[in-house]
Amino acid sequence: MSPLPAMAVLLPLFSALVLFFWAKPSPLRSGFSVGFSVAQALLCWWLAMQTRHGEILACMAGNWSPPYGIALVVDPLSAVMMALASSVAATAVLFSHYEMPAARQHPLRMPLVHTMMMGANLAFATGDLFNLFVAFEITLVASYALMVIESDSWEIRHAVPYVAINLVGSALFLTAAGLVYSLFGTLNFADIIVRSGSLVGDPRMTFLVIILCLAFSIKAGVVPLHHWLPNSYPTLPPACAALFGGLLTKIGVYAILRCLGTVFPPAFPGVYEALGWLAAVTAVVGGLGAVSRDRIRDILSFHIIGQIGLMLLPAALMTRGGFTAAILILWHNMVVKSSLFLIGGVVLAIHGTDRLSKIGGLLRASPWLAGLFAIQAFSLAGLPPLSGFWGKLLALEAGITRYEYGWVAAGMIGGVLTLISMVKIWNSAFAAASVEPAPTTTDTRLWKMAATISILCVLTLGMTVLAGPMVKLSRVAAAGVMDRTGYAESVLELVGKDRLGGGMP
Amino acid sequence: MTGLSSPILRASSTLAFFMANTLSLYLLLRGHHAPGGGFIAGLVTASSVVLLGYARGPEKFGRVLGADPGLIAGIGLAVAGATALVPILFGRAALEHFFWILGNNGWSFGTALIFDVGVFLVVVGVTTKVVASFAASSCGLPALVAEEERRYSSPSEEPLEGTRAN
Repeated sequence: MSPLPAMAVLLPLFSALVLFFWAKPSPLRSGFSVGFSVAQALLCWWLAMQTRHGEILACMAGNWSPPYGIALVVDPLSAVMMALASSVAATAVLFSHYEMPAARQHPLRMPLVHTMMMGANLAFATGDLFNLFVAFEITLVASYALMVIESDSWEIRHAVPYVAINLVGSALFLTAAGLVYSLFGTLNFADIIVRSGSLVGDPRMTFLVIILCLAFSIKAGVVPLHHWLPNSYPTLPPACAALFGGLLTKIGVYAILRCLGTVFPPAFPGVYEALGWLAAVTAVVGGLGAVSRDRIRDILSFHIIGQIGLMLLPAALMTRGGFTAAILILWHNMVVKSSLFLIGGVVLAIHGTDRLSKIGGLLRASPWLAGLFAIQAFSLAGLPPLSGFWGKLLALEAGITRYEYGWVAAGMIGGVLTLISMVKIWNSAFAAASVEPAPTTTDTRLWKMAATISILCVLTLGMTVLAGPMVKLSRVAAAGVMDRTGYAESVLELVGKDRLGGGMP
Repeated sequence: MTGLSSPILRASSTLAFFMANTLSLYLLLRGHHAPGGGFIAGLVTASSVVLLGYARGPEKFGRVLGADPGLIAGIGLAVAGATALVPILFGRAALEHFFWILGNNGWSFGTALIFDVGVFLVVVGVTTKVVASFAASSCGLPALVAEEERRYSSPSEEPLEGTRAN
């Protein structure tokens, strides 16, 4: 029994509460917020270090045994997800600290960001389906508020589909959780693993898997359930957009991986096939959408959708290699996507707009930012030897091994479209001469914002240099997600096997 | 604007308030052993507060509790969070609860009651805040007082119906 998983949830709860009571924004308050988000990132990296060989840390809330108690289970996938998510959050918090003077900050932004982190950590750490729902809701409720607190009525209008569709998704998820309880008599993942053995081939279980996949697909933004995403994300302030882009849809992908890989037996070929084709369509549609847009943040928002497709394509193969590729792309994407949103934020701060037809000349005006963008954008597009390349290579290998040439082709098209849209941003915003002369500014704020982004850039470059260990770590994580017996045993050890019905699978 | 208010409602709401809260206290205290607990007790109390608020009119709704409902909810969350944190500091599982029997007269005390009180405060605070804001907003009044407006609302926010009354 390790208290660390619980601490990773309680720490952001504590800081969110302090920031809620400490309502008046001041530099000291911002410092507190930055300090606690960094502390939380360190805690999560510590968790990741502890689980890097495939160890599983588990604890039961309140020492209750399942099905009454809630298990918090951290395996390598969860731990690295938590570490990257909290690093992204810490950077976003630091960025919003430099973005504007403390007195002008919205007093609720920081408490909400910390609440969102609490929800994300709980989603990654939980070993219980209903608790996963709760974690989703904590994250989403915080995100609903973040979406509207600093917006005008035009932006609120774009937030409405986001809230509406996510509420439908939550209702679907809750229904599925109820049905899981009626079928298995438990919501604990380990308990479901044990009891699902005797239900293989039962159409009710197939139905459940379909509903759960549908609910998670809504959260992840899979085509045709993606409509809420590309119009709502660009209305967010850049720091929040970075957090949303790096975190929210990724929790949906994580839930799909966890559900298909760990919780339910790998016995639904029809579901995987459907998921794969949806992912293929998602990759292409996301890429096309990105190419068609004109504002940096719009392009990046459509990219999120395309990237979700690229993550789910290898995952739908349901092989060890496919999961490895999906996990590597997922990890890489969290870091790169949020740093690109932050770079968009700096462009917005320099020019007052991020419409590509109105801006330009940034290569000359701020070469440092151009360098950051080049690294992140071409890493996202997967140019060798940058870090995004390795995930794509593994995905390609996994796809060809299973003779899924249609999916491989869709992934390639998606990748090329990503590259085209990145080149589009590069050409218009950075390389081309400006239509209107860029306002010359000596604002030190911009330097600090760019310096903040380089933290994430260092992470990306670290993934490039340490590509070998990263691939190895994602193999360990994939093995952990697909090791159903090991997952169940690590929880059952904690509570004593005699307290559970049924034998091991 | 007083909306729903009538002398009969105003007179009976105080009585109903005390009756409902007696039930609520009973539900809160029995929660450890029998159906009840912080959440359901919080809902009972919150509905009595809402009744009182409607009887007094939307202008005074937000001040029925005598304190900012948001603050009450925050304190409740802190209390509930503390019951999760404190056992960890003593090397036990998060949220682990302990139980003592006090003497032979059938009295007992469980630390789960502290958690329940936290939940109770959260439910009362949040429900009151939400209903009060909607009540004020749908009567054409600003949903938040001036200080809260600066703190919590979007710069472009307006009451749901009607125009901002100054």
